[in-house]
This record gives sequence, C-alpha cells and structure tokens, in this order.
Amino acid sequence: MAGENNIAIELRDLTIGYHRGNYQLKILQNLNAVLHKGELVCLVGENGVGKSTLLRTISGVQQPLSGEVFIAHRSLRDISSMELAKTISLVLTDRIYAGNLSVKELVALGRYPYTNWLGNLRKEDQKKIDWALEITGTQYLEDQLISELSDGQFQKTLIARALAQDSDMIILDEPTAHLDLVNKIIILKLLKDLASNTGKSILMATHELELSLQIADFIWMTYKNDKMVTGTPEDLIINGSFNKMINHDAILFDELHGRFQIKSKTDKFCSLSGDKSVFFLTQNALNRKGWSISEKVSDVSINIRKNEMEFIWQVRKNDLEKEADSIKDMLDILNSL
Amino acid sequence: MSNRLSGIILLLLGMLVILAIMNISLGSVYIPFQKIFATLTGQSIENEGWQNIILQFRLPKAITAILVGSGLGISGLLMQTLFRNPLAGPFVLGISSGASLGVALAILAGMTFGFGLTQMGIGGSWILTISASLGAILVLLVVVLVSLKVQDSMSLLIIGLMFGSATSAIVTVLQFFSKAESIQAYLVWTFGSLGGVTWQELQVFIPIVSITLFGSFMLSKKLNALLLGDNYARSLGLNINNTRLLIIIATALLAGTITAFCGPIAFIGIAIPHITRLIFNTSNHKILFPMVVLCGAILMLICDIIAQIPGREYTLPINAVTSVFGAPLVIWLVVRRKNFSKTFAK
Repeated sequence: MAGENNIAIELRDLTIGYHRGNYQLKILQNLNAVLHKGELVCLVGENGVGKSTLLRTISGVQQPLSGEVFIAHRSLRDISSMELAKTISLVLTDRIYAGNLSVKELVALGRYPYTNWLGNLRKEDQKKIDWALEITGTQYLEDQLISELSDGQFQKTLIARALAQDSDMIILDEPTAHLDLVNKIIILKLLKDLASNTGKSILMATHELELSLQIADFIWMTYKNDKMVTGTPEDLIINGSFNKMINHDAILFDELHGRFQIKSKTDKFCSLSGDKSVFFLTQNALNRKGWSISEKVSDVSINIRKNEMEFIWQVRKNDLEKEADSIKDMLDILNSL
Repeated sequence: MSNRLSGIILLLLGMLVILAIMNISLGSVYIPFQKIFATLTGQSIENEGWQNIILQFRLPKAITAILVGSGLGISGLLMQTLFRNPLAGPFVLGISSGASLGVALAILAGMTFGFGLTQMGIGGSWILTISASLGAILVLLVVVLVSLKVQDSMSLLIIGLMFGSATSAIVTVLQFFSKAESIQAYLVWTFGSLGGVTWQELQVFIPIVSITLFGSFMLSKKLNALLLGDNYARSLGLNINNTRLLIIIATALLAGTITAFCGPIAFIGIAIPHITRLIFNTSNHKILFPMVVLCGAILMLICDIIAQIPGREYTLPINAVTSVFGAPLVIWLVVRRKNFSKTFAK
C-alpha cells in the first residue's frame, strides 16, 4: 500500500503553535510524517502536548509557524477552502449549538460544499447521506433530534456527517472520549473498516493507547519538547517509544502483552505452575497483592490444577500444603502463611 | 418541504391576514366592518374621517407592526445563531443604544439650543428618525471594525455589550443636564410606537426591511453550518469572517431601521426565535426563517391590538405590552418543555 504516489498527508519540517504578539509560541517542532491512502493513523501523546493543534493545522483551520503540510502532494497553502472541504472532513469534540437538529439534518450538513446557496439536496446528495447513515448504522435514528441521542449514537452521527462530506480523508479528535468500552470498540472498528474498505485515510487523535495498538496501521507519537516518532505500533513497542511516553513511576508498559500496568510494589516471591488457562489471572491477582512470580525455586509455590470444570490452586510452603477453590481462597491461604 | 410544514405555513398566513384585519378594525373609533372592507378594497366611502383613519393611520400601523415583528424576530435569530447564545437579541451589539444616543442628542441637545422638536411637527419625526439612524450606523461601524479585528464571536458579544453600556451611560449624563420636558420627550420615544410611521416613511421602511429579510434568508445555509461551531463551519468551506460581517450588517439594518422609525422595541427580538424553535422543534434555519417572520408579525399585531385597548382613547406603550404579554408566553413554553436548554445545544 505504501508508495510515493499514495501519500494522503505529508508533514515536512512542520512547526506548529501560536503567535503571541511578537514572539511565537512553538508547541511542536520539526514534525516529519507521512500518512498513506487507506491507512488509519493514531496520533497519541499526553494531554496538552499539542495533538489538537496539530490536527487544526493539518485541517487548515490554523496556520503553521513554519514548514509545510501537503495534502495529496499539494501544499495546503495552494488549496482553497472549498476544495479542502471536499478533501478533508472533521469529527471534533466541539459542542453543537442546536439540540433541535435531527440526525438527518446534521448528516445533511456534510453536503454543504456540494449544494446550492439554499442547501437544497439533489438525488446524489440524498444518496450519499443514506450511504453515510447506513454504513454507520444510524438510519434508525434519522428522525431523532440530536439532543436525544446517547454519547455513542451521537459520535456515530458525527462520523456519518463526515462521511457525507465525501472526502478522501477524515480527521478525528478523540472520537471515543466519554464512551464506554463497548461503544469505544464499535467506533474504532467502524473507523478501521472504513479505512480498509473505502480507502479513506483516517488520522485520529486518541488516548486509547491499548486499543490503538490493535487497530492502527501507524502511530504518530508526540512528546513534550521532543521529536515526534512514527511507526507501526509494534516497532514503537520494540524501540521503547511507548515506555518513553509513559514516563511515570506508577505505570509500567508490559511489552510482552502490549498493555499498561499499574506498577505495584512486590516484595514477596513465589513460583507458579500448572494450567495455562487461568495462569495469567492468577498472576494478576498475585501481583496486586505484592507477590512477584520468580522462575527460581522459592519456598512458596502454587500449582494450578484443573479438575473437570473447576480449578484447584495448591499452595505449598515447605511441608505445608493447602488447596483453594477460588482466587480469594488462595490469597487468604497465602496471607495466613 | 413536507406537507405538514406547508400546512403550518398556510395556517400561519391565514392567522396573519385575520389578525391584520382585526388590527385595522379595532381602535379608539368604532368603524363598521363593511366600511373597513370597502376602504381596504379601494372603494371610497362617504365618511371621509373614517377613510382617513383607516388609510392614513391604521393601515400604515398594521404594516409597521408586521415589519417590526418579522424584522426584530429575524435579527434576534441571526444574533442567537451567530453568538450561539440564547440570551442574544437584536440589540446585543449596541444598535439600540446607538440609536438612543442619537435621539437623546437630538431631543436633549436640540432643546438646549432652542429648536425644540415638538414645535417642528412632521419634520421633527424625520429628524428623530435620522438621528436614530445616525446613532445606530455609528455603533454599527465601530462594531464592524472591531469584528474585523477580533477573531472569536464571544469577545465580540462582550464588546457589543460594553458599547451598549457606555452609550447608555452617555444618555444618562445627557438626561442629568436636561430639562424635565425634554427628558419626557425622550422617554416617550423609548416607549416605542408603531403609530408614528407615515406612508412617506414607509416608502423607505418597507424596502429596507423586506430586502434585508430576503438577503438574510439567503444566509440560511450558512447559518445552519454555523450551528456546528466555527471549526466545523470552516471545515465545510464556510468563510466565517465574511459570513459574520454579513450577519452583523443584516441585523444592524433591520434593528437599526426599526429602532429609528419605532423606537427601541424590547423583548420581541429575543422571544420570537425561542417561541418558534419551541413550537416547531427545529434548529434548521430554512424552516425557522419563514416561521420567525410569520410568528413575529403575528405576535406584534396581537400586541398592538392589546396596546390600543379597543374602544378607549389611550394607547399603552407598545414596549410594555410586548413584555407583559410575551413574557408569560415564553415562560409557559419553557416550563412545558422541560428540556429547554437542550433545544439550544448538544
């Protein structure tokens, strides 16, 4: 998929920020990155690092301080706002100042760049709107007012609006904020499918690091006062970029499983063996209670045995041996040793 | 346009015609309905006094009421959408304060220099109109200049309110140094009046208001995009600064002209857009626009009927009637719809 003719967005030595009177407030500097057609890229970084400013700059809402943004090989400066509207659509966290707008009316606003001065919808516009509603699974909501929608439904509606705009690229700012886990996954899966099925390029700022590991083709990782790093999620794990971003005592990035862990103080050691199916959960519980799993022989050992449908945890210390039939029992036994 | 919508528009149009006829029929002098109908359809009736009352006084007043109601309603809608603020109205940018300043200068300063407007008759009313217009235009120019400088609408709203306060303060100072009779003349102007507009003035009033109304209707697609906020609107290709300027000019033309001819008429401009949104449950400007025009005209005709208290010689200040009659209506609508705030934002 990657190739020089396939570039949707390219940043060249881009420096972004704001003009404050006579001096420039630089937020991110010397950014170089490429997003290819049909790719889903997640832009990550801690709060306040400048993700939204970068998205605003790429979408032409804000001017870069220096460097350039290329959209489909053309400098952003040379693209008129009407042309840009047909190339990039946005999904933002901004409030919508009209609870009385119906879902269909909101989605229809995506046709703004294509309709006449009155905004009358032609057959083709109608088709695009129906398609956008269908692909986001929001047709059944079309006559509802947006003030009546749940957060998840509203987010899908905003994506439908961006789709109706019929642009090659969609830029989203934290589309999964405020959503519960299931809705988060539904939205991310929808975006992933859009990128691979419709060839749209998607750039999304997100705080969902773990989920972005699973869906992103590339990750753009921003740091405060440092260079932006780009790569596949796996490469960024391997070269330690993830650990560098989460530079905090309380958090540990588990590179083996690609997930974040709350660091707990472990001062006790035991060995763990037996049935693999609940091995991980047992380890999780032990870690939480300050036990560290050591490969070496230690005086406390735990063996997990599967007895038909049930699991038995055998806790052994020297000659003492007890059996537990739940994690709670096992922890109680360990406590009493 | 759906059938239901066309039905509602027809219904409102019917109401408008009936209310306009009622408005013309009722007044301090009783005139039989057949005579009114005859006069309105162009026949001459034997009682010349009645004919004069109908043609020279009541008909222009009814037309003025329609223009004022729809014009103020639309300028309120424009301001509420531009500022995304349910409390915004036609006068938030200081237009009426500017007009008041102009009028205050004309009446208060005029009397000091010895050419009392009260003695000038018809010419006096033109002077009032012109000074109100000049005041409104002055404030408009300042606001437009500021709006070119200030990027976001909220700052502009605050600045507009500040202009309003400052001009009102100047008027207060002028009043402090004026004689009682000139203060009273100024106060009478602030009560608002629909009855003072002559046919001659209507030749200016009708074209300005109707052309501006049509021009603002052409903005309805842009206004809908503005509902999404500046960022979305810009991403759709809308030129925000341009649109903002057009909205401000349209509002100033409507509110400024109306204030110049009829005085500062409160309440209608803020209330009509809310009433329309609540009744028709929509934020779509293409639908809101004709509804606001119709509802504004209807409400203003009703207020005027109440103001002239049929059968009495007195006429209540129109400004008082709009608020006393309109406020309970708005409160009732808001209370009935418990999620009112949601009609405004998501």
